[in-house]
Amino acid sequence: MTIGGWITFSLSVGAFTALFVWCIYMVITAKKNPDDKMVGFSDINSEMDMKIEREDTRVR
Amino acid sequence: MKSENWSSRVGVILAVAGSAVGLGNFLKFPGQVALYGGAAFMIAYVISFFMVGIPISILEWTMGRYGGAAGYNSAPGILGYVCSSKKMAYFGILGVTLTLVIYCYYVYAEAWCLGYAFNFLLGNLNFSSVEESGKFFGNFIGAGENGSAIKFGISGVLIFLVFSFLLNFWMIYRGVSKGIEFFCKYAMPTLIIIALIMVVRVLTLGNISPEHPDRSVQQGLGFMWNPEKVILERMDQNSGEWVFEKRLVGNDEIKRAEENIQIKASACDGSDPLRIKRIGLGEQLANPSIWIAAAGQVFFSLTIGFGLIMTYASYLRKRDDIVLSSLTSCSANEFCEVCLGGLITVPPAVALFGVSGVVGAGLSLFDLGFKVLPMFFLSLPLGWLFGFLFFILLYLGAVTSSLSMLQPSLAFLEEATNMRRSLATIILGMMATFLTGFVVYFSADLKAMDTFDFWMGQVAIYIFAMVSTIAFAWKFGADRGIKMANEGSLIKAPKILGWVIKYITPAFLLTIFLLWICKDVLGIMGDGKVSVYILDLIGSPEHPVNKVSVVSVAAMAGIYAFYALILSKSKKYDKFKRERKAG
Repeated sequence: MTIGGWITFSLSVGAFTALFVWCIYMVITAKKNPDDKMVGFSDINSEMDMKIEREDTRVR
Repeated sequence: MKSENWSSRVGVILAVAGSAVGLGNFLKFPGQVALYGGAAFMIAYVISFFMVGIPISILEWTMGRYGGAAGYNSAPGILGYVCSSKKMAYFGILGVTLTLVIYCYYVYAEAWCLGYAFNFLLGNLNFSSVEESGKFFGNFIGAGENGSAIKFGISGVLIFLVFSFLLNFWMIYRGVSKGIEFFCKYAMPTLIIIALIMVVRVLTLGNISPEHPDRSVQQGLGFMWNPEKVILERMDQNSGEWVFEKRLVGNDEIKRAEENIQIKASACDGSDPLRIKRIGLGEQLANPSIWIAAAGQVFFSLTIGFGLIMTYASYLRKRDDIVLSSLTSCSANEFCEVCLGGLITVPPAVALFGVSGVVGAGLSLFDLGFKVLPMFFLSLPLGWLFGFLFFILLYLGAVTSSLSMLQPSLAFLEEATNMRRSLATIILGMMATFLTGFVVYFSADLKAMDTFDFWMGQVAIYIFAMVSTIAFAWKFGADRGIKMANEGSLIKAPKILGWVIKYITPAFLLTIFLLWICKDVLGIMGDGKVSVYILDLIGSPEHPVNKVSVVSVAAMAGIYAFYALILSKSKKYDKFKRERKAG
C-alpha cells in the first residue's frame, strides 16, 4: 500500500468509525424520555388488548 | 386496528440499521472499491453519502413518523397523507411492490449464506481451485438449468430456503416490537462481534502463500485503497490500440513490471509492446461510471428510497427522535461497510490469489462471496470455523434486511383492509411463496432473479426515491419537513439540509439516474450496447425475447395491479384531504 493508500484508508475508516462512535455515545447519554421504556402494543391477543378493545367498543 | 410502536430508541435504530446492513456491505462494497480505485471511489462515495444518503434518510424518517401519527404505516398511506393526494397513494404502491419483489430473490441469496455456513460447519466444502468452488456454487443454487434447485439435502439450497422463509414470516407475524425489534437486538450486535473477529483474523494472517511472497493482506489493502491506479497495457498489433493487461499494485510490482518492459524492449522478440499507465485521481473522478457506482452503492446500501424506512419510522411516537436515530443507523451501516467490510473480504482474497487471481475470478458480489472466499477459508487452520462464522455473519445481515422488506407489504395489507395480522401474514406468505418459487425454479443463469433485480431493485427504486424526495421537498415543503424532523430530536438538523433536500438531492439523483440510463441501459453513452434486460423483452436479431423475463415483468405488474385493486376498494385512502385540512 502506498502512502496515499494509507491516508485514504485511515481517513475513510477513521471518519466513519468516529461518526458511529459519536452517534452511539449520543444515544446512550441522551436524556431518557419517560416513554422510552414503553412496551409496544402486543400483536398477539392479551388481556390488555381485550381491555382496549372493550373500551373502544364502549366509546363507539 | 391496534397500533404498534417500537419499544425503545435503540430498538428502532438497530432495526433500521439491520435493514441496511446486508450482503452488499461485506461483498459488494469491497469489490466496488477495488474495481474503481480507493480514493476516487471514496470521494464520490462520501459526497453521495452527504448529498443523497443522509437527506433521503431523514426525509423518510420524517414522512414515516408524520404518516404514522395519522394512522398510516405503509408507503401508499404515508405518501398519500404527506401529499394529500390519492394519486400519490397509488404511486406509493410501487414502494410496497418493489420491497416484496426484492424480498423474493433476496431470501434466495440469504439461503445460500445459511447453506454455506452449514456446509462449512460439517466440513463438506473441499475445493482445490476457484473453478471447482464455482462449480459447487452453481450446483448448490441450481444455476445450471431450470428446476435444478428443487432438490432436498444439504448439497442444495432448498431446505435452507424453506427455513429462512419460515423464520422471516415467524418474525414478522410476531410484529414490530416482539418480532423485528427482538431479532435485530440480538442479531446486530452478534453480527458486529463476528465481523470484528474476522477483522482480527485477517490482520493477523501473515503470509499464506509462501511461494508468492508478494501476495499479502497489505497488497490487498493497496488494491482497494491506493489513490493512483497503475495498470499494465499491451499494444494490440492488429488494432494498434493499447489494451488493458493487468492492474499493478504496490511499488514492488510496479518496479518488476518496469524491469520486464525494459527486458522485452531490449530483446526485440516481436512480442506486443507493454507500457505502464498511471491513472490519477482527477482522471478517475472524471469517469461517470465511478459516480454511478458510488452513488448507487450508498443508495442501495442504506436502503433509502425503498419506502421501507418510512414504514419503520411510522411506528415511532409523535415526539420520538428522528435526526439522531437516522444518523446513527446510517453511521452503523457505514461502519459495517467501510470499516469492517473493507477489511474482511478483498484483502484476504488477494493474500491468497494475488490481484490478478482475484480480478480473474471476479469482483462481483457472488463471485467474491461464494467462489473466492470459500477457497480462502479452506486454506486457513480452523478454516471451517472461520468460514462458518463468515457466512453466519452474512446470514444475520441478510435476515435483518429481508424482514424489513416484508413489513411494508404486511403494513399495507393490514392498513388497507383492516384484516388481522395472522390473515395478512398468510396472504403475504402465499404471494411471497409464489414469487420466490418462481425465482428458485427459473434458476438457470439466475435469470428470474436478475430480471427482478434490474426492474425493481434498480429502476423502480431510483424512480420511487426521486419522486418521494421531490414530493417531500416541494409538495410538503423541505423547510417545514426539517422543522418537523427537529421536533423531539436529540440533535437538530441544520436548516441548510432543507436547501440540500430541495435542490441538491433531487438533482444529484436525477443526474446519476440519467447517466446510468444513458450508459448502462440504453447504450447512448459508453459501449453503445442496449441493456440485455431491455433486449430480453423486445428482442433483436441477435437476442431473442426471453420468456422468463417476460413472465417476470408480468408478475411484477400483477403484484402492483393486485395492490392497486386493494387500494381502490379501501376507504382508508379517501380521507387525505379532510385530514390535512383538519391538521
